[in-house]
Amino acid sequence: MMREFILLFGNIGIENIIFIVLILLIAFLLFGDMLKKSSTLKLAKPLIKTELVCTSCGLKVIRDFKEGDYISKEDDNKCKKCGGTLKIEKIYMIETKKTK
Amino acid sequence: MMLLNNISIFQLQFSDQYGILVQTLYLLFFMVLIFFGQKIQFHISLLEVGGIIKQLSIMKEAAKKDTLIEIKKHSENIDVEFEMDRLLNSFMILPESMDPVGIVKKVEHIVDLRENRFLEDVRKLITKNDLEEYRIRNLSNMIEATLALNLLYKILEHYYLLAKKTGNYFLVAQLQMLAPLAFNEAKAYLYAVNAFKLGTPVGDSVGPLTIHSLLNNNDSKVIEIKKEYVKDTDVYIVNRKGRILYLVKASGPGGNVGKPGEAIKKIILGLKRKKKSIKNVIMIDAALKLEGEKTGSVAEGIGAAIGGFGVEKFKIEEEVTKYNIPIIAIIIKESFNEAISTMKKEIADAVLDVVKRIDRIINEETRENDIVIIAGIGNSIGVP
Repeated sequence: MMREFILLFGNIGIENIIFIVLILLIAFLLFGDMLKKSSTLKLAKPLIKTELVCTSCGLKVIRDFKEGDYISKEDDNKCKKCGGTLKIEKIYMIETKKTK
Repeated sequence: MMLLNNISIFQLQFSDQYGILVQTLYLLFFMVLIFFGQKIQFHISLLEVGGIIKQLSIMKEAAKKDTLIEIKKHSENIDVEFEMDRLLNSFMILPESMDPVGIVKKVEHIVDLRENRFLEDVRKLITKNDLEEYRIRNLSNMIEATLALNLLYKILEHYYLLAKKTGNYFLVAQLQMLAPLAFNEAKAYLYAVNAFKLGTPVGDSVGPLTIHSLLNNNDSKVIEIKKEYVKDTDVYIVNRKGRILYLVKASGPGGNVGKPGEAIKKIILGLKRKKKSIKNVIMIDAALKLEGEKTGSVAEGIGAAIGGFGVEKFKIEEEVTKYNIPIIAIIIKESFNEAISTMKKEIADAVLDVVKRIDRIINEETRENDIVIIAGIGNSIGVP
């Protein structure tokens, strides 16, 4: 079978094969790039954390951000270790997975 | 054997015909490339820019939708959409600078007027009276971020349509080069809309956050708190390691940059009137990093570290020059995207390093009872 294939296409010429392969490659690169660019918009979903510190014992607690949180705001929950007041010390973002 | 013979005959006929066909196609391909090469390139570039414009449009609509939902939560006004569109299309014309004498006053007047009117317009939109002042400011910042995104989209769309209409390849080539940068900026504004909606500190809040950290530090003893010392700016007088520190920051936790230049000017003039001297002015601000630099890295330098239109910077430079006061700048490096998105952990952690550097400066350059002004520049969103 291989012999027949070589006989059939053997005389096409190397330059013509290169030409066809080049055209296919250009088409692939061009349309591949376009498809990539016009694909759905993806943005990283920010994960926001609130860092609280106990004013009495200094225990550090990290939880998810809640709307209305701001720096130095007293939290509704008390310190699990000593029952002291928890104050917001830091609010920051951690970048995670990509989302639509 | 029979099959091989048949193939040989077919091969001779086929290779001849095929060779001619390929040669013709080859020639045709070159002719097309020579005569229509630029036209083809123009359409390919237009297609690419069109894709980015489409994505910008999605982002702009998402920001508008989010802002509208947020306003509607607190408004009974039926014409909310119309009013928001009016705000999104508002603009500011800076004064003529052909004759630069007195330009700072003129710029200040226009910028103040625009800010006040914008905030008042947002206040008028909130009819339910269920929002605290700081949340109205956050909403105002949210609308401003949407406005910036809307403007960016409109400018890019303008050049895209102009290039399409005139068939100007060079216009579209420039757009193709700029579009990825503009796309990144648009992404930053979309993140900013989210940050202002939630009221979280943004990267630019690192200056006010440092002042907050200094104020709530065990080594600092608060002597006096002057809320609204000047418009939207607070001043705290603190004793730290025997030195008298005047801490300046924009009023929080609402989104607000205040008037730190005006506050520093007022402090210096007040102290000079009492025949007291100021040993140092230290300014802390977020600064744009270069691509290779690490987010949250800290650097020290000389000069007034403050952005904006230059009015506040001018006021500070005028006063420190007049009284020969050394001015030190501490900057925290971050990208534009990071400056207007929710603060990254690396930036929040840099505050500790900045406080250590301030302590080192005041230990090395001042003595007990010396007066130092420290200003935390930036948006005080989420930082009271």
